[in-house]
Amino acid sequence: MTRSCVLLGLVACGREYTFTSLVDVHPEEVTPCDFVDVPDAPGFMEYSCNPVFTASAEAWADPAIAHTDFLAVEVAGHAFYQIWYATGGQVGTAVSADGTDWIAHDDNPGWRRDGDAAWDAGSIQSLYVAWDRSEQRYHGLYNARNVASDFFGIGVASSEDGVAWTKHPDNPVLSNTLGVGDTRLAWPVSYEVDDGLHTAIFAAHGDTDALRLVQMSTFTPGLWGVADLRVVAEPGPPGSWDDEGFLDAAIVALDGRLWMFYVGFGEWIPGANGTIFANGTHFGVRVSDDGGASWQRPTNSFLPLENAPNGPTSVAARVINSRIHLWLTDDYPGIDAAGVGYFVFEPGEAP
Amino acid sequence: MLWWGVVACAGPETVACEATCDTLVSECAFTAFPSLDSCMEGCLDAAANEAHVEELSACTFEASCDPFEVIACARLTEAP
Repeated sequence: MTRSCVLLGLVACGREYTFTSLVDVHPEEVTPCDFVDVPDAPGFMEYSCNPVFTASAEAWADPAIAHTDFLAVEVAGHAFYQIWYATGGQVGTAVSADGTDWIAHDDNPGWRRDGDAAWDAGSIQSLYVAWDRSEQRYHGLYNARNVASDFFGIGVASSEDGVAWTKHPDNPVLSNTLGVGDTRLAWPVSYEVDDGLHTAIFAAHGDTDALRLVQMSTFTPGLWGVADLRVVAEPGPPGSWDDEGFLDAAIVALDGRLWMFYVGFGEWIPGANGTIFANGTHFGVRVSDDGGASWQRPTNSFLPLENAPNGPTSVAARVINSRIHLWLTDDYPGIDAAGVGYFVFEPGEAP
Repeated sequence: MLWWGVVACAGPETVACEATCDTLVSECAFTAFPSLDSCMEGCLDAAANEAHVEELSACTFEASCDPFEVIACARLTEAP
């Protein structure tokens, strides 16, 4: 694996988001089905046998996947993949040698609920996993909810094998009431550990309920401070499909350009006790040619993509040689609950 | 007439990659590899980038085609 990004400060430059090898294998060379062009989305190809993953086959798992995250691992110059999936407040993991055929671990779930009174007893709404090569362990960043109290919090955990997890004793390290300075955090959208530096991007409220993306870094897992908070991206302009901000986002670097793949939304719906929930999600793309200082929609129209009826809930992206591999959690034809679809994006095909 | 033959010895990285690819491709048939040659090319490239391919070879052999263990081997032996 080599560092492929020289842009400073943004999480996309980390080694776990990219690898380069002389062997640039097109996914079609190793997958059972082929990839087809996505209409009105130049450069995007969808795996024709999506979805590639659902949790419904495991007895412990709820059919509804709340969130997924992925890592790509280089084995003799070729990509193997890891997935972590949150469902019903617990987390399982699986691996794949081609990104489509997944083998769940026999010891799932290695991340379990702590009981109804726990702050994270309700559901894990998002989960991000980072590999720390200096410590040779995995770190997890997640947000969860206690349904009874309507408490939303953010916690961290770690694991030696990516299967069995230990939650941090100080969880929740952040919450909807424990903000960072004047910044009210909503949920994390990415997490990386590089040379001991834990960098996370969060969706955070500004002066309104709309969510911008902010980045913070720390050498102490879970101890983020406002001192190095920087704004990464703002919600879409008023009246746009993403004017209320980000449900999820993945930022990667390829060929000197930053690509943001994200799930945006344009509506809040009220819940109980004054809570609000993101609604009307769509999948979109932004690009930056100035190291993340500003973001634009690609010159050609990347129409927001949505599979009815509920819209996407999470996106993960990894650069593997000349392509960006993406996994989009959404509703797919033929299944009753959310599944994960596999996509490939070739920037050279996009204007 | 005497012919002098020069016997070329494969370097340790090549030997390690041959063993690794024999395990991953020929024995375990992991679909990540389009071919044995592809595996060799990738492994030698990794070696050139200072991955610990000799340790990878031993580790993947011990993994007994368990993909979780293979991934653990890759993480343990990746280039600094």
